[in-house]
Amino acid sequence: MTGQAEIVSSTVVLDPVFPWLSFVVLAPFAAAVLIALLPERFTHYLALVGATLSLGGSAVIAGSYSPSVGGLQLAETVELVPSLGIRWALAVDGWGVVLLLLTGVIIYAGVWASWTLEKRVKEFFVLLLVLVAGVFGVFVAQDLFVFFLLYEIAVLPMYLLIGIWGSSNKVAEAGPFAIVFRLLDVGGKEYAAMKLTLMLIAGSALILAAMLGMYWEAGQSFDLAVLARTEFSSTLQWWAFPALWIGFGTLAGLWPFHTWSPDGHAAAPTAVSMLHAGVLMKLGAFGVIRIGMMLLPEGAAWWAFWVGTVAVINVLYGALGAMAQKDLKYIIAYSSVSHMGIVLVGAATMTVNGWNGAIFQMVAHGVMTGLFFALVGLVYERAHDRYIPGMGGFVRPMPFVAAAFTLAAMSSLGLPGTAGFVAEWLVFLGAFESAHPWWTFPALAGAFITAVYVLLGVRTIFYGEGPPERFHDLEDADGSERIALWMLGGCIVLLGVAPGMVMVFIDPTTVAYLRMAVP
Amino acid sequence: MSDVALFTLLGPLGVALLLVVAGNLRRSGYAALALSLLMAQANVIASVIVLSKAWGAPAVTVETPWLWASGKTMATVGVHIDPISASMLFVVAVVAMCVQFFSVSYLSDEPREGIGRYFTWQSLFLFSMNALVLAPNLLQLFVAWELVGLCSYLLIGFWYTKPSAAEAALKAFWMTKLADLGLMIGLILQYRWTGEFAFTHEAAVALGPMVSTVALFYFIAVMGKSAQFPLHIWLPDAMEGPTPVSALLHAATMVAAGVYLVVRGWPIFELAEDTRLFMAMIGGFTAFFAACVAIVQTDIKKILAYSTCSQLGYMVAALGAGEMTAGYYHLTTHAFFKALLFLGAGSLIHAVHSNELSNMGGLWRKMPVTAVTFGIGTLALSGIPPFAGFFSKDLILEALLHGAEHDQPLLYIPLVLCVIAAGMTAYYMFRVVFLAFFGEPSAHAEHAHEGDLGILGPLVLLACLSFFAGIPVLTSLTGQWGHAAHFHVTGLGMLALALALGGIGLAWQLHLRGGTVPGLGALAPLGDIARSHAVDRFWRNLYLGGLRGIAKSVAWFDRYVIDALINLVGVGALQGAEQVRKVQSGRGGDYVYAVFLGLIVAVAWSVVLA
Repeated sequence: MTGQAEIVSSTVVLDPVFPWLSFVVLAPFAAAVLIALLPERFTHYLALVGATLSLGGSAVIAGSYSPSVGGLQLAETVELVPSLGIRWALAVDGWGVVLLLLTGVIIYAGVWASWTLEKRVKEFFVLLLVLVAGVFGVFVAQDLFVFFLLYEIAVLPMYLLIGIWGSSNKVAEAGPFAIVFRLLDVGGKEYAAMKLTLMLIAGSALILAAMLGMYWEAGQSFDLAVLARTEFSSTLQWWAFPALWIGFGTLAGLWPFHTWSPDGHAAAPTAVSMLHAGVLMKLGAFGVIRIGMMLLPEGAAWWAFWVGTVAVINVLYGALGAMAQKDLKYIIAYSSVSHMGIVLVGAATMTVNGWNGAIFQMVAHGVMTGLFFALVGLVYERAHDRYIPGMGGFVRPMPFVAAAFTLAAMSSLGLPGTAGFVAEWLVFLGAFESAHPWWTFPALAGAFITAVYVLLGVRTIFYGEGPPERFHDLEDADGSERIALWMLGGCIVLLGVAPGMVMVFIDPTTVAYLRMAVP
Repeated sequence: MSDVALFTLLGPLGVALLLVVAGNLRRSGYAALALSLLMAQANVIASVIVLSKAWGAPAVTVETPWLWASGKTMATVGVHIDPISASMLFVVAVVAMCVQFFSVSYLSDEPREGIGRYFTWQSLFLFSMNALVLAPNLLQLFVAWELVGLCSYLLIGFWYTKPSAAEAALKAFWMTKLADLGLMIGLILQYRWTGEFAFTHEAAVALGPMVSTVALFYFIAVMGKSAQFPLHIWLPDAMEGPTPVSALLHAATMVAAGVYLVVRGWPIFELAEDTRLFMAMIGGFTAFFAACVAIVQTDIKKILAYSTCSQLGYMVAALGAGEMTAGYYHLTTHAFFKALLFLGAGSLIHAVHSNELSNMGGLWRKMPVTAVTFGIGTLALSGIPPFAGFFSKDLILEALLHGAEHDQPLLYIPLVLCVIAAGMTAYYMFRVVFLAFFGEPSAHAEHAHEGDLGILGPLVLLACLSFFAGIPVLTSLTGQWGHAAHFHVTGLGMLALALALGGIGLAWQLHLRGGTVPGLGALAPLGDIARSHAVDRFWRNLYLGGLRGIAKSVAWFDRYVIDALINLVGVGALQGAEQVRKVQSGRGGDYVYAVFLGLIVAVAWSVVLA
């Protein structure tokens, strides 16, 4: 606690030569502005430059961050609204380094994956890049107001991205629910966009309430370091923590507020699903830990049992839900609900292993689900179909896609040698060390059910005799798409084989933060 | 020496990675084949060097941190070289090389893409298996354990267009993964109570009274991997893969990994007496049960698969009886002769293009080398002296008897089952020999002919090993640990031998002479049970009715309860707004009334307040 406060208060001393953090956050934003202003033929290249600069900047930040020193580094502060105490304060910790890199990788792959998009290209990339700027910002913001502002910037473009570029999958419903289904147009992209946005905004309202409560009790400050020092009253801790947990948790797919995810991710275009499941859901989990658990330790301790128990439900419920789906995108969406449950279990354990695992799972699930959605988009684009039981034998026309899909499946079910294993393993170890060791067992069962449904999907789509007649013109992934697939697949294996590469950053930060959260 | 051991890991891994990344090289087929074969041979040389250095020498461990928590190393990766791992490394290397050579001819009709894919997975398997064998701690062993499972999944599903192969790959992965939860739980428990994943004596002692629990969870994974009842059902189906794969993964090495885990973690299992009794029971029952099922099979690979289950049961029973050397010794001899039998079966299948025994017959004239080597393998498996299997099986029976007499009378149960199974083993194996090599040739067998050197070479090499891996290895092996497990002729051994000879006689009477044996009809109900696939059905119902049923209800609940509530909020808001909207009627009179009403309320309010 004191370590973090000291580093932030001595900002002037540690001022970096170049404001790399602002650079990473603002590069996609600048690219978005340029795309809006310049003719459409520059759009793709500007988007790629924006994404590359952010990825490169994240790499520079990772390189200049010193894990042995730890704490917050590369801090920069600009007063925005002094009268309200709002400052553009950015600084990065070990978790931030890793999550910035993840976001950089996903947006870079996402730009490649949407290279062939044809409809309203300019607007699409503008929104995509604005969204990513918000994501980058949340991971490094040290001012709660800026944090919330960027959080909303990341969440809101989704409405347009799904509503305009999404795809509908009409659910022909009979029986007593038919009226409701028709009235709301369940399965349509507008329905999905509206549902996602409204549910997430309802969550934001809860966050805002908790935020303001904290702001007043902390003597009108949004500074995270100041808030961390403040001893909040028990009453506030008691109500503000669940507000933050459910508010942020909704974005993380928290049961039972997860139902925006299957409909939303199924309707969203490829790159949007990649970003949303890959990094946006992480904002939610990050918020639960970084704001909820660390600023309100007493409330977190009070509610920890429920956080973990609901997370365990998430894991099992998501996996079982995925098993019963027949639409390819729904399977992956439910699996995200299940895997984000692992993150929340890890968070609830309040142990070093659990938190290390939670952050690692954010990264592992990010690249894995990014790869999954890239592949699903690819299959959908070529097959014009997402209904799995009608598929089969796709490996022959698209072997590259099949191989990449199998790799993503292996990471999803936690096979050693992939990123998924390290993450789940750490969370399991942490869960068993926690105050409620039984969390381990349903979480393990969830991992097994993942193996069941994900390999069943692989079997149904790719194995079997050649593809049915109507899929005669399937093509394998092409050049620009392969860049995305190689990159994400490479990350999965690299993180699985050499987890130390990111543990160097994660572990010291976890140890320091855990001391704040568990007084 | 550790450099050479590291080479056995990084060499095959390098080949596999290169072939995965360089798609053109892999699809060329022959380049992949050459690279993989070259590495398999280099691996044999390396394993011989490691074995010669490690034999009789103290253990060497080289490791590097892999994962940490709070800045402290939690898990390491590296190599641990002692006589056990070095000898296992050698066995794996030899069988892998034989199998890869055999595969060249066996798969020569495959498209080049398929050949490339096959040898890529073979190299990956070699790496994973070596990493398992050389693991310095149980976490690395688990990592490699899952990776060999992945290779098994990929190789069973090698002919991916065949629905049955896809089905079998899935089943194998699911069953072993389910069992692997045991290993995961065991590791989690061990980490919680000792803070490490070590398999040393100190680690076992540190577990204290929990040692039996941890060992029990580990054993669940062993049951999955080593196909013990009732988790064995994936192994017979795994025969959908190419026969050389069955020989390497599903007979000689990968399925033996379960037994190897017990051998490796022996300090833990040694202290876990309750778990060992359970192991002996499961092992003994599997040895007997799988032999029963093998008797009624007509598919040559299925017979060998059930035979593998049965033999693994022997090993597990021996370990359960507390005799690690016996179990491990049978593992090594079994690896040679079962690989030999599978490759021999492959040679037959390659010649007649069928797995069914009824499509063979009279093949010994046309395929003499296959016939002789298969015969040697059969004699070894049946436990006929002086072949390797006789000694290792005898040691197991002795161990069970010793245990039963001295510390646990319940061990008589697995002992009796194992002794009976010895006779049955000889029967079902000689049934194969008589039906395949003797008697009238079937239509399929008309044009059968012996394969080329790529097929025969490995057969001869493995036949030699099956013959010579008897006493010399035994004495040398037992010398390593100082266990006084010297072979000597005993009444029990003679009884097992007599039963085996009886089994051979029965097979001769029934299948060569075409005669009958009085009273055999009474055993018919037993045959029906063996054919009934009751265990298969149990798991299938559990999956269809249990897991899938729950999944469907969860999906229903999600759509029609949770989502319905959220939609209800949406519909409520829409409908509510629809009603409230009517207030804005646009008629001037309505607004006047509203203003008037408001005035009254305001006045009333101020009066009340006053």
